[in-house]
Amino acid sequence: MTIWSRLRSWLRTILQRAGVEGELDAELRFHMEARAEDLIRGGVPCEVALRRARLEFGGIENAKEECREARGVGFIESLLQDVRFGTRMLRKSPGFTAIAVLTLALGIGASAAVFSLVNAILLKPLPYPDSTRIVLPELVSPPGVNLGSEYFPWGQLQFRMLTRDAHPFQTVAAFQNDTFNLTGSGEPSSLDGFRASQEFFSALGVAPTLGRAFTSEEDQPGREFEVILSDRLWRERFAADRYILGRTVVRIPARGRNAE
Amino acid sequence: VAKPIDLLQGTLDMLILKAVSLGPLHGYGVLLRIQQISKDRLEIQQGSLYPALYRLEHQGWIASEWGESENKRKAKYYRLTAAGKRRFQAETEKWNRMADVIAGILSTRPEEV
Repeated sequence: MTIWSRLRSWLRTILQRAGVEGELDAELRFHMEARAEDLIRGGVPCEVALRRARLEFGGIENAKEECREARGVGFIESLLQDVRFGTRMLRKSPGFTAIAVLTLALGIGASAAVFSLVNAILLKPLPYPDSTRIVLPELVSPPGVNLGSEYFPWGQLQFRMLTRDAHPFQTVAAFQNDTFNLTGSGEPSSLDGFRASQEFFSALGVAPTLGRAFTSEEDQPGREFEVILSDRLWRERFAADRYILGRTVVRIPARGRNAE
Repeated sequence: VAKPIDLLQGTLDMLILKAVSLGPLHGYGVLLRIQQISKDRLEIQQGSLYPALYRLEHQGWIASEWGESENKRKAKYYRLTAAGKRRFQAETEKWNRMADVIAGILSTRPEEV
């Protein structure tokens, strides 16, 4: 049994349905006419020969249906019939339909939500050039030593040691989650942000759209009041003001911070 | 004249393969040739001939092509493919073995058991 001949015959049937039907009609017509001619030659009157030929043949529609099935179109036809039947039944019981649709919608929605999360967190690369070379090293306890935890936060001391000694990284930067209070510019609000070292932007391989990244002078104790605004905050709270550079925008109890 | 006998289930395919192995034929020609070879001792339902032809073509044992009939009309001609030839030989062998076995069983006499 050759798979190709089946595929060919299926494709032909699907793509040229009208043509195939026409061929079937023509083929059977030829059969009837040839048979009728033979009957006439055998002495049957012209007028009844074709009718006799039809009678001899038996159920033509039945034979056609069997031919279609033999070509392997039966399953497409019956699929269409099933679809039509299904639609009719669904329309007949709207309560069931609503529950089924709702179930499907919730299921699909949940899957899509989970996927977009997994996609964003696990599958999609970070939006930085050379993002595969950005790593987040972790401090782990020495093997065999139980310190109550496997991972430890980086301290200032470890970070200083890492940057001072020879290390395998091109750039090393530190950052830490923090919240900041924004006042003096519309409604006061609490903002999520990072405290970041000078190399933060060069390590990610990006630069601020406006202004500059932190300098080494600003990376000293006592100079922690320079901020770089996120694009979203700049647009939402400061109306994308291009002259914001150098302005005091944030106040944390009694001390100002300059936007950079 | 003896009444023609009906075809055994599943034998029509074999007869069609045999008929077209002797040369390309249109559907009506297949019918005539089988009747001619069998000397009209077989009754073939015309309605079952075309589904069988379509099935054999779908399986790749025979191939079809539109050509011109003896009386200058367009007709669909069937011929045996290489795969069909192999299939026909295998079927013939199987049929002969089967016929031998059945004939042997049916002709067994009491003293042979």
